[in-house]
Amino acid sequence: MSIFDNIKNALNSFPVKSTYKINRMRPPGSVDDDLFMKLCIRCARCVEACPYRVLRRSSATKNAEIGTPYIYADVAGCQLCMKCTSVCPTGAIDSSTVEMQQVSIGVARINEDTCMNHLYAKVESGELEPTGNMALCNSCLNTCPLKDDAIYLKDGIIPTITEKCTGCGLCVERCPIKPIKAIYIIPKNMPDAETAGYYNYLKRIGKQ
Amino acid sequence: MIIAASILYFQEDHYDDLIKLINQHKNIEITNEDKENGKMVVTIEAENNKDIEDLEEIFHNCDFIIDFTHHAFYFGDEVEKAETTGIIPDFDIKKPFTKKKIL
Amino acid sequence: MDISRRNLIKSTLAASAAAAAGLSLGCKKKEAAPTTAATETPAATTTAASASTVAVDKWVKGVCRMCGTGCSIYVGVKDGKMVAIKGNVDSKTNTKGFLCIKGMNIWKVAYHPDRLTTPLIRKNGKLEPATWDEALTLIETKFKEFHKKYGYDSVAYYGSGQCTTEESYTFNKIWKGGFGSNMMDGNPRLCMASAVAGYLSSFGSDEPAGAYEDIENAKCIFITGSNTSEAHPILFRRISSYKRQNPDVKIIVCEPRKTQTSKIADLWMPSLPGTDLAIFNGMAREIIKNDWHDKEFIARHARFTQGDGTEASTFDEYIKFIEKYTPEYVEKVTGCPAASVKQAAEWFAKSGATLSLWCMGLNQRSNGVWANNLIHNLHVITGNIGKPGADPFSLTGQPNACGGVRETGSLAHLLPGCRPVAVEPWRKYVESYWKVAEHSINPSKAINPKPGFPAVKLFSSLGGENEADKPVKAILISTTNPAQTLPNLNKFVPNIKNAFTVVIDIFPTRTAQLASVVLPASFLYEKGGVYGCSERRSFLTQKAIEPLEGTKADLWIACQIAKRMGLEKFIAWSNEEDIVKMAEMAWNDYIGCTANTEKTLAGATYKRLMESTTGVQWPCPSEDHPGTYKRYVRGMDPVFDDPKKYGYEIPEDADMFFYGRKDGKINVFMRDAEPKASEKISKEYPFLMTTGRVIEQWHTGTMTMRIPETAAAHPNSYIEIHVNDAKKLGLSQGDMVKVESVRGENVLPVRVVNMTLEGVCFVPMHDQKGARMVNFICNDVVDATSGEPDYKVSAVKITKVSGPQKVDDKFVVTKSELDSPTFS
Repeated sequence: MSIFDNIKNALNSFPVKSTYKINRMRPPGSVDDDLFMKLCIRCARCVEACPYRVLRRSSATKNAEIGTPYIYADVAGCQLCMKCTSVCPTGAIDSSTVEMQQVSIGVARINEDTCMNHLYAKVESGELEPTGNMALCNSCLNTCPLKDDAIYLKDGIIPTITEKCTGCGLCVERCPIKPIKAIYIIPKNMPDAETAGYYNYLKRIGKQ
Repeated sequence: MIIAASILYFQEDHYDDLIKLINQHKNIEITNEDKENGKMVVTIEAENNKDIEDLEEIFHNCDFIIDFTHHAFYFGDEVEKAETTGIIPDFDIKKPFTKKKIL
Repeated sequence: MDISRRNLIKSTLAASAAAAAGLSLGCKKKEAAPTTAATETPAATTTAASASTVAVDKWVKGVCRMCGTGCSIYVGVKDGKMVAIKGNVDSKTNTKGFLCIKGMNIWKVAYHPDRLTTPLIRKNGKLEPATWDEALTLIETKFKEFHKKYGYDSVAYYGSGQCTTEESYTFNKIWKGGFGSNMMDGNPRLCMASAVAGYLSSFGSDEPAGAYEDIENAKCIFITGSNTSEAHPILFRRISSYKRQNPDVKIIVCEPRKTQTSKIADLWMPSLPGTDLAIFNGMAREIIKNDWHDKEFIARHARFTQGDGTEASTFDEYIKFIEKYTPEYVEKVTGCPAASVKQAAEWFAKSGATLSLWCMGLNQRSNGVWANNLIHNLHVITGNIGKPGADPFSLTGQPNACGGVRETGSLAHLLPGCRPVAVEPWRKYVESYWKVAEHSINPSKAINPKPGFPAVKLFSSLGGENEADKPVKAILISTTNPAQTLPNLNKFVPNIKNAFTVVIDIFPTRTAQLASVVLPASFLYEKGGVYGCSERRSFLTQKAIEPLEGTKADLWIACQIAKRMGLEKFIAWSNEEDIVKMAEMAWNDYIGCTANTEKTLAGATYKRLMESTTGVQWPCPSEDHPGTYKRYVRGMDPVFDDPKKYGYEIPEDADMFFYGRKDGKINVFMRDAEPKASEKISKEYPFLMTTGRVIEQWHTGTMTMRIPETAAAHPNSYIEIHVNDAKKLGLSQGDMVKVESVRGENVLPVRVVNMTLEGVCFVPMHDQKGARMVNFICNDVVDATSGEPDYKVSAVKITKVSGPQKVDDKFVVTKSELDSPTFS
């Protein structure tokens, strides 16, 4: 291997990587985050291509993910129009992703203590006393582009996520619960907080 | 000669301690700083990466330094040398990271 | 390396590092996490689940402002402001006090900055603020002028199923008794008129015989023309819980879309929009062929007829009439599998107690009345009326269409008690009760026996003074938004603009944009009043807070107009100051008027309504009467105890008697299923478009699009297209398409779905944005009997305009749009 290959390899295994954050996903059709961080040249073509202005460049400065595109689901979810998948010049976003169902950037999870339908069902079953504070809401179900496929109502009331969930985050955007939404996306293909990032590496070796 | 541009994250109330520490090292120069947000950009001149690694150790042992990350390295001189003489210098880049076990 | 090169390298690297770190010299900007768009008042930052932890001074009883379910609520008041809503756990409608996302948050509407707070008068195209005196004087002048120049029918009123009963009754009395004009109608014409005509023609008396209690007693529930899961969510939840606990109960859903409602169904019967009458006739044929019909019930209670019901026919003629609706024929015409028709017929007939529920899917049709008739037919021939769990129950869309408009007779052809104005004895009675001869400003000194114009005809006849073909020159519109809800808007928008239009509303709306005068109204909980829901239950909403500065209750406005038009003695409560006292007097006048009708609410005095946490179901003739669960059944219906009082004759031995009609029987109509008047698809317009509601929004979205939670959940309209149709048209998710009918067009984003029939698309009705107001496309052909438009069937063509665009703008008409001549 030449010197340049050596340098390249060394820098590529540089442990400065992005960490995952709840409700913060990569564009639809993105490759695994390890590879994404290497391929993404921060050209922002995907950000430009998004007609809903959902993709935003990260300004987080802790790690080297600066300038890379993210979906911030609590602000705006991805409408799965798939316009960004064809513009990435390096393949950080796989251009063979053309159908909504192919997307897999995260999985939604519902907080059973704050989701109104869960509480409603508990009052119905007698687990909770009726206080008049229980409301029916099906926003996450109604807003899902793969309604009844990625999310459905178990027993007609409990919103249940299936493995078909793409992680688009529209449900998070539209969830009416305040101050913290009752549904959130766990991003896929990203290293989790325990294993990635220089800061956390330092933590591991006891320096912080 | 390696030139490194690095970003220092520190606790805002220990700014003076940090300045004192940096002044102890003549090869570190502060180029930008944002006192209120605890950020600073410094450039380090070192003969080899081991010096930089030693600096890192010192910084990481300080409580008031939250993080110290390198943004860019300039190896121009070393590369030129390697090209002309054919001798591959001991970069030892991997070593600092393999010295300590990644759990 | 020389020093300058070194410095260059260092500074370059450092600059890049600084950029990456977000540093700039002296810049204090902290990294901000993405924030949500804020149109929220500080009070609006927590949702339902924490409502119980909100500190309140008192909880005030009321009814939800929205759908026809009639959920009973408590409004939490602190320091004179509304801060929360919770459901009433003792409620008979929303059992255990459940609410939906709209009802839980509706109080936020009261404090939105867009609320109108001063009267506005249009001068030189712009709406300028004015005082109440100026506005009312202008209205008085114009009304008197038009009465003189063009006659008493030139000034009209268009009311709403969201006005309180006291308000509707007052306006009705002013117009019909005071002005001698029947030129007054309401938005229930666009909603329930076909159900009214259906009940009147089949039973002789409006409104269901049963109640919500029938849900928990039914063995089979037949839901058709209704997406109950979104339009009446709390009732739907009652049905689905009941089904879960009793899996043997059969649920049948008959709908063009496989909505969430059909998720609990044992059988989903698809039907192309407009064609479902064939299914109902087909089911009837199947029932009789298999001998599943209730011969005894038919013999005692059925009268076969056709046309307008005057001529009686026989059972055999009926059987011959429906013979052509074989399951195979039905499948060909509707798309519903023949086997499903047979299965549905069997379950319907043999369950023991079948309840039918329907809403706009059957009513908003060119053959809506006939559709209603056919549902009643099914219940009659199977004997599913009068026993627990068995009833043809029409779901009402609005919270007070039943109580406020149908029962008070606030439609062009009715009088209080929901009786036709054309029928002399009752008209004479009302004339004498109201003392019309003494007070009317119309020289005729009587109530006009000729019905006025129903909504669509009314707005067609509305126009400016220079339009000789438009006899109605002025209109007072309250609590509704016809410039968005009438079908075929391109036809009616100019009319509303050219006439002298007075709009009473709480927010700027499309109708206010066309108005000559806008009057700022108080919100329901700022004034109080009675609402009567689908199951004949009247419930009093008590005034919880003072009205917003500058706004006035509709009832006060009605009284001012009455006084200025010379009717202050006629409307006795116009001399009152306190709005609650005024409402009580109006209510007493009303229940006094209808005390001797089958709809009597004489027992529902204000005192009783104030104390009651469950409201009162009519007929309720006295204060000690508990209200009526089921009509037409001896022992439950008080009419049986003293039929002569109500003008009926009921045989002593009759346990069940449908006294709405003299012979006590129910008309079973022979009705042809073909939707002749509905639009048909053609080569140029190959798709059938239907419209409807979603759970997150209410009607024209003037309120719900201003509540952050519901606006975020449904920020814009879209068109649902079947995945196969989308492929054929080359459309993908989010693409913008132009949806056109012969009447108008919209530009909407595509939502690819697979739960509708191919060739059928769906657009929700709630968006106010000019390019997304679906009523530009909808058809204004009406049912010949009821005058209700055919919203559910339009033929459209769909063409791609562009790729996806960001349109989730939660658009609402604001004060700045009020001066604009176009709907943008």
